[in-house]
Amino acid sequence: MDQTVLFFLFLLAMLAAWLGPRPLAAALFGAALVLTVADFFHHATSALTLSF
Amino acid sequence: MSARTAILLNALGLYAISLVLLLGLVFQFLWHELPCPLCLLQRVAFVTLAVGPILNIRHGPRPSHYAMSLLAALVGMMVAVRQVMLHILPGNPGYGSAVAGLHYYSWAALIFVFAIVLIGLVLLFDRQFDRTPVAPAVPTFAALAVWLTIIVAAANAASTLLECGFTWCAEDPIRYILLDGG
Repeated sequence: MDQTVLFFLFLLAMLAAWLGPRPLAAALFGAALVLTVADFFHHATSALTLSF
Repeated sequence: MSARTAILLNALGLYAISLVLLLGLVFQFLWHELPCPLCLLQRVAFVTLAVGPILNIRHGPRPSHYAMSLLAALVGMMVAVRQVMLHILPGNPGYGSAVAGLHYYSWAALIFVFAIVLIGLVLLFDRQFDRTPVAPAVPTFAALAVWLTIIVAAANAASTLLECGFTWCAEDPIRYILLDGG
Protein backbone atom coordinates (compact mmCIF):
# COMPACT_ATOMS: atom_id res chain seq x y z
CA MET A 1 0.00 0.00 0.00
CA ASP A 2 2.82 2.38 0.90
CA GLN A 3 4.46 2.03 -2.51
CA THR A 4 1.09 2.37 -4.24
CA VAL A 5 0.57 5.71 -2.50
CA LEU A 6 4.08 6.82 -3.53
CA PHE A 7 3.44 5.82 -7.15
CA PHE A 8 0.22 7.85 -7.20
CA LEU A 9 1.89 10.86 -5.54
CA PHE A 10 4.67 10.89 -8.15
CA LEU A 11 2.07 10.38 -10.89
CA LEU A 12 0.36 13.53 -9.62
CA ALA A 13 3.74 15.32 -9.56
CA MET A 14 4.36 14.28 -13.18
CA LEU A 15 0.91 15.43 -14.27
CA ALA A 16 1.40 18.73 -12.42
CA ALA A 17 4.83 19.13 -14.08
CA TRP A 18 3.26 18.64 -17.50
CA LEU A 19 -0.16 20.27 -17.15
CA GLY A 20 0.01 22.47 -14.06
CA PRO A 21 2.16 25.14 -12.42
CA ARG A 22 5.81 24.46 -11.54
CA PRO A 23 5.46 25.20 -7.79
CA LEU A 24 2.72 22.57 -7.43
CA ALA A 25 4.87 19.96 -9.18
CA ALA A 26 7.87 20.87 -7.01
CA ALA A 27 5.80 20.71 -3.81
CA LEU A 28 4.33 17.31 -4.71
CA PHE A 29 7.78 16.05 -5.68
CA GLY A 30 9.32 17.24 -2.40
CA ALA A 31 6.58 15.77 -0.23
CA ALA A 32 6.64 12.42 -2.07
CA LEU A 33 10.44 12.23 -1.94
CA VAL A 34 10.45 12.74 1.84
CA LEU A 35 7.80 10.00 2.17
CA THR A 36 9.89 7.71 -0.06
CA VAL A 37 12.92 8.13 2.20
CA ALA A 38 10.74 7.53 5.27
CA ASP A 39 9.32 4.36 3.66
CA PHE A 40 12.85 3.22 2.81
CA PHE A 41 13.93 3.61 6.44
CA HIS A 42 10.86 1.62 7.50
CA HIS A 43 11.87 -1.27 5.22
CA ALA A 44 15.60 -0.89 5.81
CA THR A 45 15.16 -1.56 9.51
CA SER A 46 13.14 -4.75 9.03
CA ALA A 47 14.74 -8.08 8.13
CA LEU A 48 14.08 -9.36 4.63
CA THR A 49 12.82 -12.89 5.31
CA LEU A 50 13.13 -14.87 2.13
CA SER A 51 11.46 -18.22 1.56
CA PHE A 52 14.38 -19.94 -0.20
CA MET B 1 24.33 22.99 -25.72
CA SER B 2 21.13 24.82 -26.65
CA ALA B 3 17.87 24.51 -24.72
CA ARG B 4 16.44 22.53 -27.63
CA THR B 5 19.25 19.96 -27.51
CA ALA B 6 18.85 19.70 -23.74
CA ILE B 7 15.12 19.06 -24.18
CA LEU B 8 15.83 16.28 -26.68
CA LEU B 9 18.34 14.72 -24.24
CA ASN B 10 15.74 14.93 -21.45
CA ALA B 11 13.23 13.19 -23.73
CA LEU B 12 15.76 10.43 -24.41
CA GLY B 13 16.16 10.10 -20.64
CA LEU B 14 12.40 9.65 -20.28
CA TYR B 15 12.41 6.91 -22.94
CA ALA B 16 15.22 5.17 -21.04
CA ILE B 17 13.28 5.38 -17.74
CA SER B 18 10.15 4.03 -19.45
CA LEU B 19 12.14 1.14 -20.89
CA VAL B 20 13.55 0.19 -17.47
CA LEU B 21 10.08 0.33 -15.87
CA LEU B 22 8.53 -1.61 -18.76
CA LEU B 23 11.18 -4.33 -18.56
CA GLY B 24 10.50 -4.66 -14.83
CA LEU B 25 6.80 -5.19 -15.55
CA VAL B 26 7.48 -7.63 -18.43
CA PHE B 27 9.79 -9.80 -16.29
CA GLN B 28 7.29 -9.64 -13.45
CA PHE B 29 4.47 -11.07 -15.56
CA LEU B 30 6.53 -13.37 -17.83
CA TRP B 31 8.41 -15.06 -14.99
CA HIS B 32 5.64 -14.67 -12.39
CA GLU B 33 8.08 -12.98 -9.99
CA LEU B 34 6.45 -10.42 -7.77
CA PRO B 35 8.57 -7.43 -6.70
CA CYS B 36 9.47 -7.15 -3.00
CA PRO B 37 9.01 -3.83 -1.10
CA LEU B 38 12.59 -2.70 -1.82
CA CYS B 39 12.17 -3.68 -5.50
CA LEU B 40 9.00 -1.57 -5.62
CA LEU B 41 10.80 1.35 -3.98
CA GLN B 42 13.43 1.20 -6.73
CA ARG B 43 10.65 1.40 -9.33
CA VAL B 44 9.21 4.36 -7.42
CA ALA B 45 12.67 5.98 -7.59
CA PHE B 46 12.75 5.50 -11.37
CA VAL B 47 9.38 7.27 -11.58
CA THR B 48 10.79 9.99 -9.28
CA LEU B 49 13.70 10.41 -11.68
CA ALA B 50 11.22 11.31 -14.44
CA VAL B 51 9.77 14.45 -12.80
CA GLY B 52 12.84 16.65 -13.48
CA PRO B 53 13.01 15.85 -17.23
CA ILE B 54 9.25 16.49 -17.59
CA LEU B 55 9.71 19.93 -16.00
CA ASN B 56 12.70 20.59 -18.29
CA ILE B 57 10.65 19.71 -21.36
CA ARG B 58 7.57 21.68 -20.31
CA HIS B 59 9.13 24.78 -18.72
CA GLY B 60 12.62 24.80 -20.22
CA PRO B 61 15.86 23.51 -18.65
CA ARG B 62 16.66 24.83 -15.15
CA PRO B 63 19.34 23.76 -12.66
CA SER B 64 16.62 23.13 -10.03
CA HIS B 65 14.99 20.51 -12.29
CA TYR B 66 18.29 18.68 -12.62
CA ALA B 67 18.74 18.96 -8.83
CA MET B 68 15.41 17.15 -8.39
CA SER B 69 16.66 14.34 -10.65
CA LEU B 70 19.94 14.15 -8.74
CA LEU B 71 18.08 13.77 -5.43
CA ALA B 72 15.83 11.11 -6.97
CA ALA B 73 18.81 9.15 -8.33
CA LEU B 74 20.53 9.38 -4.94
CA VAL B 75 17.48 7.93 -3.16
CA GLY B 76 17.17 5.19 -5.80
CA MET B 77 20.84 4.30 -5.47
CA MET B 78 20.50 4.15 -1.67
CA VAL B 79 17.61 1.66 -1.93
CA ALA B 80 19.29 -0.46 -4.62
CA VAL B 81 22.63 -0.63 -2.77
CA ARG B 82 20.79 -1.64 0.40
CA GLN B 83 19.27 -4.58 -1.45
CA VAL B 84 22.60 -5.51 -3.05
CA MET B 85 24.06 -5.60 0.47
CA LEU B 86 21.28 -7.92 1.67
CA HIS B 87 22.29 -10.50 -0.92
CA ILE B 88 26.03 -9.94 -1.12
CA LEU B 89 27.17 -12.94 0.94
CA PRO B 90 28.67 -15.80 -1.11
CA GLY B 91 26.10 -18.53 -1.75
CA ASN B 92 23.13 -16.17 -1.44
CA PRO B 93 20.94 -16.79 -4.50
CA GLY B 94 19.63 -13.22 -4.47
CA TYR B 95 16.02 -12.15 -4.98
CA GLY B 96 14.35 -13.12 -8.25
CA SER B 97 15.98 -14.13 -11.51
CA ALA B 98 19.08 -12.54 -12.96
CA VAL B 99 18.90 -10.56 -16.19
CA ALA B 100 22.10 -10.72 -18.26
CA GLY B 101 23.98 -11.95 -15.21
CA LEU B 102 22.79 -9.30 -12.76
CA HIS B 103 19.68 -9.04 -10.60
CA TYR B 104 17.24 -6.17 -11.14
CA TYR B 105 18.52 -4.34 -8.03
CA SER B 106 22.15 -4.61 -9.19
CA TRP B 107 21.16 -3.15 -12.56
CA ALA B 108 19.18 -0.48 -10.73
CA ALA B 109 22.22 0.52 -8.62
CA LEU B 110 24.35 0.82 -11.77
CA ILE B 111 21.68 2.78 -13.65
CA PHE B 112 21.19 5.25 -10.76
CA VAL B 113 24.97 5.85 -10.58
CA PHE B 114 25.02 6.29 -14.38
CA ALA B 115 22.13 8.77 -14.11
CA ILE B 116 24.02 10.82 -11.49
CA VAL B 117 27.10 10.98 -13.74
CA LEU B 118 25.00 11.84 -16.79
CA ILE B 119 23.09 14.64 -15.00
CA GLY B 120 26.42 16.04 -13.75
CA LEU B 121 27.76 16.08 -17.30
CA VAL B 122 24.63 17.77 -18.74
CA LEU B 123 24.82 20.43 -15.99
CA LEU B 124 28.24 21.46 -17.33
CA PHE B 125 26.60 23.14 -20.32
CA ASP B 126 25.40 26.59 -19.24
CA ARG B 127 23.92 27.85 -22.50
CA GLN B 128 20.87 25.62 -22.13
CA PHE B 129 19.82 27.83 -19.18
CA ASP B 130 19.77 31.07 -21.20
CA ARG B 131 16.25 32.46 -20.85
CA THR B 132 14.35 33.34 -24.01
CA PRO B 133 11.27 35.62 -24.04
CA VAL B 134 9.14 32.85 -25.51
CA ALA B 135 9.32 29.29 -24.17
CA PRO B 136 10.46 26.85 -26.91
CA ALA B 137 7.72 24.70 -28.44
CA VAL B 138 7.69 21.11 -27.17
CA PRO B 139 8.71 18.66 -29.93
CA THR B 140 6.32 15.75 -30.54
CA PHE B 141 9.17 13.33 -29.77
CA ALA B 142 9.43 14.84 -26.27
CA ALA B 143 5.68 15.05 -25.69
CA LEU B 144 5.37 11.35 -26.56
CA ALA B 145 8.17 10.54 -24.11
CA VAL B 146 6.29 12.36 -21.33
CA TRP B 147 3.01 10.53 -21.94
CA LEU B 148 4.74 7.16 -22.33
CA THR B 149 6.44 7.65 -18.95
CA ILE B 150 3.16 8.68 -17.29
CA ILE B 151 1.36 5.62 -18.73
CA VAL B 152 4.14 3.20 -17.67
CA ALA B 153 4.20 4.76 -14.19
CA ALA B 154 0.41 4.34 -13.96
CA ALA B 155 0.75 0.67 -14.99
CA ASN B 156 3.28 0.18 -12.20
CA ALA B 157 0.93 1.85 -9.73
CA ALA B 158 -1.91 -0.47 -10.82
CA SER B 159 0.28 -3.56 -10.60
CA THR B 160 1.44 -2.57 -7.10
CA LEU B 161 -2.16 -2.01 -6.02
CA LEU B 162 -3.06 -5.50 -7.28
CA GLU B 163 -0.07 -7.04 -5.51
CA CYS B 164 -0.32 -5.31 -2.15
CA GLY B 165 -3.97 -4.31 -1.91
CA PHE B 166 -4.64 -1.95 0.97
CA THR B 167 -2.13 -3.46 3.42
CA TRP B 168 1.67 -3.39 3.76
CA CYS B 169 3.32 -5.26 0.88
CA ALA B 170 4.59 -8.74 1.83
CA GLU B 171 8.38 -9.02 2.31
CA ASP B 172 8.42 -12.06 0.03
CA PRO B 173 5.25 -11.76 -2.08
CA ILE B 174 3.90 -14.84 -3.87
CA ARG B 175 0.43 -13.68 -4.99
CA TYR B 176 -1.59 -10.66 -6.04
CA ILE B 177 -3.71 -9.93 -2.97
CA LEU B 178 -6.52 -8.14 -4.83
CA LEU B 179 -6.75 -10.86 -7.52
CA ASP B 180 -7.00 -13.62 -4.91
CA GLY B 181 -9.80 -11.85 -3.07
CA GLY B 182 -7.60 -10.62 -0.19
